Amino acid sequence: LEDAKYRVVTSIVVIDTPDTDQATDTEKVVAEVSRKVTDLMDQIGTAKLKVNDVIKRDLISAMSREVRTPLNVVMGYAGILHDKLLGALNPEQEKAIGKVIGQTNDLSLIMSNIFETHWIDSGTAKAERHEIHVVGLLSELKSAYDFPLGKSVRIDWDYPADLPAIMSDAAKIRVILQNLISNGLRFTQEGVVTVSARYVSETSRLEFDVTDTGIGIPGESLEAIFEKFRQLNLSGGSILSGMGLGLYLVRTFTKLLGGIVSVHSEYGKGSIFTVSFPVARADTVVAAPHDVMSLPNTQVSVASASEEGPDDNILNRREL
Amino acid sequence: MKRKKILIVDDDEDVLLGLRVRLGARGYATVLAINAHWAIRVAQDEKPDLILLDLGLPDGNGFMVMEKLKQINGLASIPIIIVSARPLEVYKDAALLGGAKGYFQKPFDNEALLAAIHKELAGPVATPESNSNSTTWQLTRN
Repeated sequence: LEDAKYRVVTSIVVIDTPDTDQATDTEKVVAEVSRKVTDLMDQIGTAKLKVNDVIKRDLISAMSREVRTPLNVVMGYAGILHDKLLGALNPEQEKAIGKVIGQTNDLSLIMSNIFETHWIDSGTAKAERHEIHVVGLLSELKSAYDFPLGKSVRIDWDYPADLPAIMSDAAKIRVILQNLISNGLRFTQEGVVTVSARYVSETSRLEFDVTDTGIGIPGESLEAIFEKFRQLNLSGGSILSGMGLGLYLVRTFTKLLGGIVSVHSEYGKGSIFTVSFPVARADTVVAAPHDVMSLPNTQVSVASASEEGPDDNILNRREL
Repeated sequence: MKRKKILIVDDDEDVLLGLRVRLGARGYATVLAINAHWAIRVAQDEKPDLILLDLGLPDGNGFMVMEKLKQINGLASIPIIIVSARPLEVYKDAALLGGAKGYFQKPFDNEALLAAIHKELAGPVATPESNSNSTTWQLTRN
């Protein structure tokens, strides 16, 4: 008590206790009261943070609802027109509706990335385990990109028709692939984005490659691209569009599934992102149909959810 | 083969119409309800084979509808799939616990929803029309 200096920082009261132990009773009482006030303010601060968390969660929930509802209607009608369920389209109309779908898909991915990041930050993100027919999942995804891309880029899909049914989290896999495809498309002006998938029976792993013929990533940026809000800053100083959440989610969700992401890129020629994670084949699993792997509480523990160990091993750079 | 009948419950008319067109194109018959009250009434009158159920309804919510249906003879076993804009991180577990067969968050993927419906109903007269014009489709591996 003697050498302590009590400052109630948000008020004008500043109490310095004397250095000597000659402090009077009044001074001691004042110091004690001051300490209690500080403690109380700490408690108020903590309570305020908790209230803020609740407000933030409710706000995000409301925002999610308010954005998703109209987006759902736009995408529903655009899809119906595109699939000619309301009649034939002339080529210009087809092109126009393709634009609507493309832009709405991008918007939808941006919004959903923001919400997914919120669930990770709040410790709510979890990976489920349910039966997934990988071929079905890929063909659903393929049909979501079945519109003209508006530049000389096409998407090739390359996977065997006999991929096994597995136990994993379809929604997480979908977010991973959508973001890798979106990333590939954004950085490729001309050429091909190829999505391939394989099941490696020796290691019981499902692996996806998303390969592009785009601008590539300079070696020194290879690690940074997976960081939250990090965007590739090109040598010219121009920062390419995007929120910087896509690859962050790719890495976080892959870790949540117990796997790793690796990237292999040649600047100016293109990049290959490989996502690999262990899966149980559905036909060998007798577990409950709806297991949940709920590991992360913070971002730190998300990292520890990886079977591959510390962060610096997550990014496996390979040479060309 | 008799067409399978799907009850769509949503307070947004555009969602109802969009799903009706989409499901109709796949050979399903549809009946619509715009609130919880009508969801129960139409389910009783029409005995659908499956229900697509929104969670936020003006006169209640999807959970309430699920509970009521469970208490009505002959309706308790109708498979229900939730289609809602509410975050699945918060509501999905409760919905599945309440007996729903699946949870789709808006904006949902058409093909994924159709696949889930197809799985629950084990094969209606389905003629996929949306996959006919794929130009970049390749199966080069294997």
